[in-house]
Amino acid sequence: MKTRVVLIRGGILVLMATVAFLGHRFGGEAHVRRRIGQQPLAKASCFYCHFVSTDRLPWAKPRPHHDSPAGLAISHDGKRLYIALDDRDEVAEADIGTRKVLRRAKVPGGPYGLALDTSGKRLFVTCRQADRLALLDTGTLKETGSLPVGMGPAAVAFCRTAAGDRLIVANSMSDDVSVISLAPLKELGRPAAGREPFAVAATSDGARAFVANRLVGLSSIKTMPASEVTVIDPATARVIRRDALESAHLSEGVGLDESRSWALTPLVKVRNMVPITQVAGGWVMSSGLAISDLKRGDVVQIPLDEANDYFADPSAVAVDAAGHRAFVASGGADVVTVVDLDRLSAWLQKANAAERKEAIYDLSLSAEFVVARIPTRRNPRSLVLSPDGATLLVAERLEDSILVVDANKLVPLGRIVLGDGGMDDPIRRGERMFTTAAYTFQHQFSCRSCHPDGHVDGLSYDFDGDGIGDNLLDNRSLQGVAGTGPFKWNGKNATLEIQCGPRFAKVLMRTDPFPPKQLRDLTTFIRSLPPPRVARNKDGKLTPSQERGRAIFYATKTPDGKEIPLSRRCVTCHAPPLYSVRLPFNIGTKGQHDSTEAFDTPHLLGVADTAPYLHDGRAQSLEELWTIYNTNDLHGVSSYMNKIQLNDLVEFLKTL
Amino acid sequence: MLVLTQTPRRAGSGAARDRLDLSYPAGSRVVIAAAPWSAPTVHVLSEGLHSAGGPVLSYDGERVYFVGKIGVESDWQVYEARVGGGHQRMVTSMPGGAAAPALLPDGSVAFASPVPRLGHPGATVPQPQLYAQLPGGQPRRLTFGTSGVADPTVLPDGRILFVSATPSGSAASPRGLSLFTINNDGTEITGFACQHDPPAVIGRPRLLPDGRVAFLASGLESAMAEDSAECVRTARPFLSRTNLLPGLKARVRSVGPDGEGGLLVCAENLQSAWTVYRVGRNEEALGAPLMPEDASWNCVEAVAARASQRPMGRISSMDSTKKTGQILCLNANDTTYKGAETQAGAVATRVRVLAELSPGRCRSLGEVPVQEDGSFMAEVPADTPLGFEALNQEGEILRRVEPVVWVRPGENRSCTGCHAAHNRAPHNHRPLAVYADVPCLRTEPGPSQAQKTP
Repeated sequence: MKTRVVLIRGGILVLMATVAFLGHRFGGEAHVRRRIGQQPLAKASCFYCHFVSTDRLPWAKPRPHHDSPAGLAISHDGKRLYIALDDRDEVAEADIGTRKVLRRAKVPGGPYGLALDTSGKRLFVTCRQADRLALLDTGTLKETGSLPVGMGPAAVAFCRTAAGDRLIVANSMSDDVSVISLAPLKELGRPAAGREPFAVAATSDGARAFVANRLVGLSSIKTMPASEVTVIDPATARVIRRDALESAHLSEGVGLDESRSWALTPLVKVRNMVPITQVAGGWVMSSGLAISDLKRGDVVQIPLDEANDYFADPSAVAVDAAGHRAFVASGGADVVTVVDLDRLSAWLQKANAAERKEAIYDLSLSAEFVVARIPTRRNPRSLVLSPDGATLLVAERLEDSILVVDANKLVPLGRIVLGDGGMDDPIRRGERMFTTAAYTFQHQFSCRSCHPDGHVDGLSYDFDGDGIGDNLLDNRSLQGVAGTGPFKWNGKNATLEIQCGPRFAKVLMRTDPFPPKQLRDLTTFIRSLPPPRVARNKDGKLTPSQERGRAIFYATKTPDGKEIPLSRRCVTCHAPPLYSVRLPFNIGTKGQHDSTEAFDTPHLLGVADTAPYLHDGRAQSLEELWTIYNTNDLHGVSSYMNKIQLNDLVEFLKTL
Repeated sequence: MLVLTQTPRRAGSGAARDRLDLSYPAGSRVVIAAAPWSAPTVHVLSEGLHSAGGPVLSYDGERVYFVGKIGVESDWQVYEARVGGGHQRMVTSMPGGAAAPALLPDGSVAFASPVPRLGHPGATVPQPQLYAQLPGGQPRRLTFGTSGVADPTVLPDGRILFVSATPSGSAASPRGLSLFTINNDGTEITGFACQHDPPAVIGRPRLLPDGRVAFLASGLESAMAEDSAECVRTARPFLSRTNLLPGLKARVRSVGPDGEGGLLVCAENLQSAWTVYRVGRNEEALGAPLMPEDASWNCVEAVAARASQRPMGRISSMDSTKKTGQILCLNANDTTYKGAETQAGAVATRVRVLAELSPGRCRSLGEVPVQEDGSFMAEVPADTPLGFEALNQEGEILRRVEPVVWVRPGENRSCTGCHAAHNRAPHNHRPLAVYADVPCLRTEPGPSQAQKTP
């Protein structure tokens, strides 16, 4: 039986190869020309259009799961630690004293963010993959309730207001915040946040909740990007203020120093508008902390790096109750940075307005207030302090462990072991490569610094390999990228190994390339990333608007019966199931400083979540693709569309 | 185990003709010494050489590289010997000799050549430059400045740290030495430290485990840096220069990490004998010598004979098919230049690019416009010492950098400003210069061309 299967498969392969060879030799190009309605601008493979199935792609296949700690919550007596294990659909409870896991509970939907109520009897869990909030009884560790929230809830905070108890949930994929009352359990409002709200903290009096947003708002390379800290009134579910963090993003944590009325947000200070001619001197990015001063009403960004060494991907922050110290986990550097808030406050009081504004650019300034760097194992991503401030617990996400630190002496006490680290899994090993800054010059950034969770940072960059100021590039998502090669906007990199290999080391890392084995693991991880999840009706059916949009996408004629040329139909180049025929096309977007007019056709899986668009990120929204940048109908015939038809098309694209 | 340079306490009468003759007089040798330190066993690694010194260890701790010469009239060259024993092997054969070996992560040996004649490096013609050479390969030149270079060492991030003359504002002012870095292909020449300090002779920089960079220093009149051991911090106060060991009053010939968090120091004692000391992590003065004084030998250099972390490598960004590189300055008016405060309102509108095409002969390659935001770009000849003059509307020179920098073929070199501080990251700003045509400046006579490079 086994031999038969092998023979059949072998036969199919031989047949396919013969067809491919003959097709290429005797009319393949003509066939492609007939299919796309124009002369192909690059050599096509039969497999670009034929035998394509998303089911066979690596991201569609089962993969090993790991005990990766996500959010943490600590009991009010400081004895118990609750750990969200999103990859296992579990929440674990551990004894901090013995450093043992006591029990685990199944919580479906990717439990990620955790918060306890005042009594410590209820644990609130955001389920990032199921768009819901789960309520657990800490006595039984059983789920007692659930409430739908926005898409991709990543974090939750509990607070007590005059109007009643509130939960604030940061919905990372729907870009909003669910404000929930507990009695009765219902969503009071869902105010808009920034892009990808990812962390939340509330003041003890319940007057304010601070939401850190991971991505910048929509921007182009010619405009200053900015993410925001959204300040919300938990009682009324209204936005009070939006603090812009200029040229800063990837904020995944927020902590409060209530003694000074500060909200602290870790950030990556990005310099995407500057041509990447070097890495030294913080030329590409650096790490910092934003201090939103509620009394002064301003925001100061301060550096966490040193002039010749960087601590990439600051992702979480915890502040002791007395406001003496802040602890920042740097996921790319495997370090927890300890900031002396008293010294920082003294420096800020002494500094004039110009010095405060320029603080983040001074790479030697951190010596004024950074008092220690605590080494961790791989990828510290969240942390929490015990209520008495004596113990710091750090989630080492890709090590499957929790580091327990004496927060006074700043020495490790031991670890809570959750799993084996998964080093026999190439995907896990690849994720370790993806998230480490150990391979970049002076450890300035990791792959994740531009591709959080393998996705986009919403920015465009100017790499100098092809000339300073030339060929600006929009950062593309790596989610769902398997099977969509060739890569790079000019389609010159046939494989991910080429894309991430020596070329990447030369233009970006400015170090030696990844060693071959590590490179294989890295690309295995990238191929395992599924496309972004999209919002669809629960029954899977399209809305009437989406249906109309679908008809437009597949249209061969305009509504007045005019034939749409084959080469200018959406589906010709964006053919399902990947919605890309993987060939470059001239869609009339060549800019003054572009060296080519032919650009790779991106796949459209999760396209709604990957703004900005076009090769240089000039289109800030899907609408702009046609309203501003398709005046010549080269990027599909769209000039006949009215506002409603365009909206319908966009609504359909959002479902892909 | 330690690798030591021993010089005879009764040196021969031969006159020193170059700096290495002074450091390692006839009979000097490189040895490996093993505990017990009260009566160490010593094995000579430079057997058969007229003199030797300046040892460095390979990252695997297996091999020692040092300089040596076979006869009084022969040139100094870099030699390799195995820690475990065996005959040494000559690695370089540079005309004029090679000095101060350092090891790059790819196995190349970096060194300065030719060996400078007596006096500080600025007194030698031709000026010593840095080279790198793979085992069995040809030397490739890494530096192209007008000043000589000396004492390379490799930082953990892969940059080569070396000593060269401090650029001076005027020809009349005395020129000391300061620290610079380049990448392993000679790109990104950058001032590292001591550029703004009082002029001094400095040498033998070494990175310490706590991130400070230690070096030896002497007054300008000295031929050799040995009067004091100093250090700079790379954190705040940024590059502030201090005594490395405040309690140390003796002359010092070498300082380096001992591999255990402390220091190995070779210093002169009250009896004018040189010996090696181990200084603990938080100690600020020398204690008792590690080894007893040797009646025949001074111990002037000591290196821990152990494996160490290999620095980061770097894939070269050079394009050997090109003869030019590009420079991009984000803001020519962003400066810490000392005279800038007296030039209130003086804004640079043009930058004159200078080149030193032959020693001492500097000429203008042309002027490039400064954009409204202070940025400018130019395509310039590669491997040529370049200088800059910021000019105001009237053509007056506001600031000047003598030809001390260069670009390698195909290199895109950038800076945040003129004399900008090295601890400052750039603002996230799209320089207007990237939208303008790029002036192409050539060394041969003829009009400069403006073009947008493809």
